[in-house]
Amino acid sequence: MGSSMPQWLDIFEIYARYCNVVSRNDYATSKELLAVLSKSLEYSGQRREAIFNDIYKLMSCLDLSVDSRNFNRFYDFVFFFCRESGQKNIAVHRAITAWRLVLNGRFRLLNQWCNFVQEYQRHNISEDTWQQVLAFSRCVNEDLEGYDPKGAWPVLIDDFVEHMYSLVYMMFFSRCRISRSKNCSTEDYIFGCAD
Amino acid sequence: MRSIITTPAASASRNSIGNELIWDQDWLVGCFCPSQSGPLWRIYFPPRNAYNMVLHKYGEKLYSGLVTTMTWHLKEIAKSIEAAQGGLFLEELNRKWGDHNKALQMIRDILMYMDRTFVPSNHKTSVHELGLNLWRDNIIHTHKIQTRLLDTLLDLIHRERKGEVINRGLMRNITKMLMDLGSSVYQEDFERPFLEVSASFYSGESQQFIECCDCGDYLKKAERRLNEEMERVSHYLDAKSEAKITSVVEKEMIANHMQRLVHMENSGLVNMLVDDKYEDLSRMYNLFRRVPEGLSTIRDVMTSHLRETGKQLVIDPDRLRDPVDFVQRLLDMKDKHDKIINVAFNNDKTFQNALNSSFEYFINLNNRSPEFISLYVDDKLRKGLKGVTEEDVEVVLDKVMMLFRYLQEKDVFEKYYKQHLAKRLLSGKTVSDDAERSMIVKLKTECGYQFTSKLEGMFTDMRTSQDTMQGFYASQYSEMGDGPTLAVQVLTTGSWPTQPSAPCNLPAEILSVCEKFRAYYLGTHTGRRLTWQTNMGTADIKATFGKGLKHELNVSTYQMCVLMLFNSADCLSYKEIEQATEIPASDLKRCLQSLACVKGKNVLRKEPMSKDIAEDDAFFFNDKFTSKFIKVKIGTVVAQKESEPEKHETRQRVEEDRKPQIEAAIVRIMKSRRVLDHNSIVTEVTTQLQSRFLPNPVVIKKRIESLIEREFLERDKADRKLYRYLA
Repeated sequence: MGSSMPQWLDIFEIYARYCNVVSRNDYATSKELLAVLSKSLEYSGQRREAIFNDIYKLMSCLDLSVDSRNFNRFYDFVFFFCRESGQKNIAVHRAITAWRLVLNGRFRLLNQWCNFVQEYQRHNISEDTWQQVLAFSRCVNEDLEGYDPKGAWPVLIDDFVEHMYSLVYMMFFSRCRISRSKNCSTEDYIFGCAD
Repeated sequence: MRSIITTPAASASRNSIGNELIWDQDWLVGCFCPSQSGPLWRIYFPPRNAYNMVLHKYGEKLYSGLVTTMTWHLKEIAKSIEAAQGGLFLEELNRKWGDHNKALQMIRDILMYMDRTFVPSNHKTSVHELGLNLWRDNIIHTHKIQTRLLDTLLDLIHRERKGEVINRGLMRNITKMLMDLGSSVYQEDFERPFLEVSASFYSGESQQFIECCDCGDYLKKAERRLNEEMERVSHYLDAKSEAKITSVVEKEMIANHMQRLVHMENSGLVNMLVDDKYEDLSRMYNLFRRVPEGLSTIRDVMTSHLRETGKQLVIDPDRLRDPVDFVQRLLDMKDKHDKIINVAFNNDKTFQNALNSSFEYFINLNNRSPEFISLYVDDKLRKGLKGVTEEDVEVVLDKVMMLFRYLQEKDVFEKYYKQHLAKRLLSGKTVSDDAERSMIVKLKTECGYQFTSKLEGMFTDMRTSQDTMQGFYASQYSEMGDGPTLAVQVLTTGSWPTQPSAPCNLPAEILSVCEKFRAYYLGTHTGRRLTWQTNMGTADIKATFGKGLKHELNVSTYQMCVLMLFNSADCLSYKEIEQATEIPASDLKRCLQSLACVKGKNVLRKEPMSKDIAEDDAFFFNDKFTSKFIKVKIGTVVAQKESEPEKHETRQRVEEDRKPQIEAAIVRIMKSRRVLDHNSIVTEVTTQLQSRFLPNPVVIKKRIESLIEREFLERDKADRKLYRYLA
């Protein structure tokens, strides 16, 4: 750093600025400031292919276990950081890599989720969907208990749940045919399909 | 039986009244003897005596004397009634009762003073009532008479039910007697057992009927029974019994067998509906309305029948081949059931509602219904209404509008209607401008100005085009010479359904006239752009065949382009035609098919001969073409209803058109509510839009997501189910 590359920011600096901006209550100005910050990222020519290394570095230095709000902010930051400048959403492949990185150990259906998105999602991931995935990961467990179909989830999440249900039922019926004498219940097989 | 009463009081005033009052029971007995006439008895016991007795405080004596004597007398009467043989029993009873009443009247007259003074002050029963009570206790309620009376009455009624003629006058007198003795006597001694016996009679009879009659006959019998019972009441029972006995018949004959009746095989409600049995249906309605759940039973069966047949109709693949017939069947079905409800079901509102909801249910089961209804109108306005009076046109259009109201996807209908109207106008095939306008007025009332303004724009274009053409020919008069006559319709972009524009190469002769028109039009209207829609035009061309046979061919613009090529060649391959005209392949194939493969219209000859057009076919000018008509109309083989891909495309266009409507609705709602939860938005959007179509909740959700992305809305930070409107 220094005088030769005055605009180069490392991720810690960017995160600090980001936190500073989002902690403001004024929605309009924080938006503007974020736009400025985003611009400066572009100028600083972040090595886009290395962003996940940076995120990993940042994540390992942050204490994200204590306060879920800290993690929220970090999670939102990841979206901000992954976004190409001038765009409102992020590409599917990038979102998946980011999810695998930051939600590791925090979302029990992470693997299924990422596979599903990889296979079925064509469009970019919007900020709202990104944020709702975190909320979703917190309120459901493996058997999708806690999912409310009327819960205003983004369509992608609704589709994911439907996809999981259909897998479970396919599983359930095929296994039941094999071992009809056994007392089958759908819950038993949730894990089966989760692998 | 003679007693002498000495009154102390009387002795105190002998002079004025006389020292002895004689209480002679014989007078009373005499009263009961009908052969004697009343006034005679006043001689034996003039009212004055009674008066004197009461006056001198012998009222009690007089009263109890009356009771004793009457009781004794009635016991005698009871014996004579009991002694009556068989059928004479009732007559005897009736006669004795008449005598008793007469006697009672006399006694009351004689003892009037006692009745007025002694009876009320000592809280006694009045003479008349006493007489009735004693009759009741000593005659009617004696064991022998009581059971015999009831049995006789019930037996007579039973015989009457079985068809015998009975003496109704006598019955009336007897029941009148029971009623006179007090309503409780009538009810306990007759009415209650009567109802019980009736219930078991009708229970048995209905069981027997239902086993051997069909539904219609059964209902006729039930109706007759019901009328008989009502008649019986009016002839010889208490009017209050009517409700009770009819409810017995209703319960036993109708309520208990309702389900079995409506579902009766080969004759139940469904068969009646199918065969338009107005009388039977009306009878069923009138009988069933008398019992609880009766009408709802009919309604439920009718509804499920309608839904079932309607469903069969709309999903039957055979029916889908002919859209006009499809809609005609729907209309016939509606007419049929309207008439049934009107004639047989008393125009019952709840039945009309059931009919409407059934139609709404099954019409929407087939997502082609909107298209077909529009095609039906198209057919009617093209040819179906030719020579039909204005009123009849209105009737047909009103019926169509009624079907339109059942549609959930009104926007789809509108889309097709616009397409079909455009075709009608451009081909000049519309039968009556008035009918077209009338239909548009109706649509305006239903869908609002927004939709019909486009349609009205189409009419305006047609009118303006006529003026333009007149102006064009007026200005070109000198230079036109012998060239082809051109008729151009200038269509405003946006008013007409968007047609994928596929301009083809016009023959040189046409092209030059077109260019003249273009110059003229752009000269009078600056700043406009003209695009030729060659896929929509028609042409009349003169052709000379072998042996100098001349025909006038009415063809489409595409067909004209193809035929003109044969002016300079006798044989052309498919590829050559395609290259020369640049008509899109699917249209070219259709157009060649109609020129070469339709018998009687085959002005071209194709090699090899086959029904379909292949890429390596060759086409010849058919020199041997003959037709008995001078004018030959060569229709394009058009799919009247849309093919699957076309349908899919229209569907997609509809879906696309819905998006902005849904978004607009969301924004409208959020603008006024500022903050709202997801499900309320979905509900409100659905309500706002349901007059046009039924928005899919998933689509609404997607629109919300899109609005969030475009920062019209945001999710509430604290409650993720809430959305906020961002001004």
